[in-house]
Amino acid sequence: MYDVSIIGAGVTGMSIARELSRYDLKVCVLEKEIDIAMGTTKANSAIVHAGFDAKPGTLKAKLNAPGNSMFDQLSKDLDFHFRRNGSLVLCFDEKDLDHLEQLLQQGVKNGVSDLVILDKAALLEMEPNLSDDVVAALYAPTGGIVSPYEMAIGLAENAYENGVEFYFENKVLDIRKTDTGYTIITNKGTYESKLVVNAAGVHSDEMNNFVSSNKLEIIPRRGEYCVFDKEVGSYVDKTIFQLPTKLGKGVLVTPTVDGNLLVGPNAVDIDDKDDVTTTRSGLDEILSKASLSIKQMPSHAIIASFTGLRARTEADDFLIGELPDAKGFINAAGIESPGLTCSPVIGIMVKDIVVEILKPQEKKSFNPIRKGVPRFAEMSDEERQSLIAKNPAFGKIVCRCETVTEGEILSAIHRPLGAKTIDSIKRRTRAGSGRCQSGFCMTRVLDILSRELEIDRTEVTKFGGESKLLVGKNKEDI
Amino acid sequence: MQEFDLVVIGGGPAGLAAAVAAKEQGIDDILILERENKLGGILNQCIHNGFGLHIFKEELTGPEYADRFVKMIEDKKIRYKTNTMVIDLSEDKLITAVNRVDGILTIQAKAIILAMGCRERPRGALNIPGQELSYSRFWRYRTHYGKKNDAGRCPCKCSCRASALLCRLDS
Repeated sequence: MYDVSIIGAGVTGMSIARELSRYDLKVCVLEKEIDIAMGTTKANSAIVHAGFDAKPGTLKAKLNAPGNSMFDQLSKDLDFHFRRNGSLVLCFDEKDLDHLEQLLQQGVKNGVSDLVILDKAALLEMEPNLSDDVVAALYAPTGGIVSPYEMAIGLAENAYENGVEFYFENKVLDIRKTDTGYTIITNKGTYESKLVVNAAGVHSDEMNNFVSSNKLEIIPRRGEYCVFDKEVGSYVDKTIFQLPTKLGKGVLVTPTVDGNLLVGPNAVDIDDKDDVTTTRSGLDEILSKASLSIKQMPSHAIIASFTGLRARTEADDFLIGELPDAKGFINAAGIESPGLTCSPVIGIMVKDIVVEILKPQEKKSFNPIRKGVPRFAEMSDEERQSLIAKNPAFGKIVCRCETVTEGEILSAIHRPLGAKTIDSIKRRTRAGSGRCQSGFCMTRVLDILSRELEIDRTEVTKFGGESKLLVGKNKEDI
Repeated sequence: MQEFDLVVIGGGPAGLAAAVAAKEQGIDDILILERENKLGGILNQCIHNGFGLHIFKEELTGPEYADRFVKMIEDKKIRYKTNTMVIDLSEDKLITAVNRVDGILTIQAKAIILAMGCRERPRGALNIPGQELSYSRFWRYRTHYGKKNDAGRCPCKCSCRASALLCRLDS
């Protein structure tokens, strides 16, 4: 019998898991995929929003600025990349200056500090590659960028080290109320739990609807993005938004915390929660809209495109709390933008609800610190030399684009909740994230996985399930 | 720090030929740096024949052709390091490389020949839309191609979308 079962190993679920791991509770995480951060968490704008965007009074507005302010400490404790690069909302028309001012006032109401409106001259001095059509912009110095999957993995590893249990490839098929709590039935087994936390992202409506008559509907909203080579990673330094106008919300141009440039997203409501295809019209749309913000779109340097799904509800706000008609079932549902930014506070909110119900003791043994995979590419030559002296695997570079060593890949495999797939290695080390997009290193990473996990090469998958890379030996059927 | 008159970065066809030519022109102190575990570069994956007709007057596969050059390198006692990747290069020709045995290597060269070949651009660089597939699924889609049903989709349930995509690409 678990005290708490968390459904979903995205950044929301992992923030909750880590907060609960501070207490003397038996907690488990049930995740349908093979790894952490495989849904919305792995495909979004990776922005730590300042907090001026959401309508005052909503949970989104209330949680954003406090969430934002937690990232400095959290990124230090959990050793993930975060940079407070600041963000700009560009205004292209004198007639829209009122809207910019309203946005600033909204930000002030939401508790965002240091907001200021900059004129064209100040803007172009700050960001020389901005379009000459820009008139003014709202500058939010507290805006930041982060690696969402690195963050979620950091939270998960720390939660695991502090006692949380993880069950991957466990898809929840049903949840039933019992006398003592809930029975959760997955494709792999049955889990008894006093409390259930629903952090199932785009599937959080299905979880809610297993137990509540107050039906929820998540409408997956597709957002498409293009990733650019590091060659143009500093084309802009701030996260560049566009002031929403009658023509739509606009798309952003931003550096990523890993040093790439990112452009996107559009917003298309779809009905398939697994549909992460990119489309010609979508990619064209984001590139053409983003072109308004900057002098020249460096399209030659695109290395990848991807689609993420936002867990949107009609309520247009986060749904966090214990269900009135299903006591002990706690929703953290409808977590779309700025959900990543708010996730640390959502973790605390849900923890508070759990503590209120179960009244557990705080654990003295809780360790808030987690060390990530060493990053050879970011080290000095002296650090590299001493690392290779200790472990020669750090002298063997496997991913050449991103300078990722075999030592880092071994660390990713053998650490808590270690990597089992090619993509899991990528999200922990960046092997395969560079300009050749794993064209070179994928087979070598596959060899290392096969060797270290002691499985046949044909059993290695890209992202679990049937995503096998090799189907057999050449001509073996002849 | 080691010193060499000439450092050739890349032990593929260009680098090997350049090293041999430099040696024949009287430069003795040469080092080839190759990040693969053997010399030959792209030739090692060009397993078809047709190489060597001009230089060796016979038809060789890529690896055989590379092997001829490797023998020349050995005969001429040109030094090389495999499994060694250059990670930095300064304007005054100071090379930083890394391998398992030496760790971080710094090498001062009087001259450097860059013979690193090229990198292919992946699908993403062409910005072709679609769905991420692993290779074997891709293979399976290919085998279904041509068996579209009336809806223009593949009969195999798992591959509907991507098959339709491939059909579009192929048509």
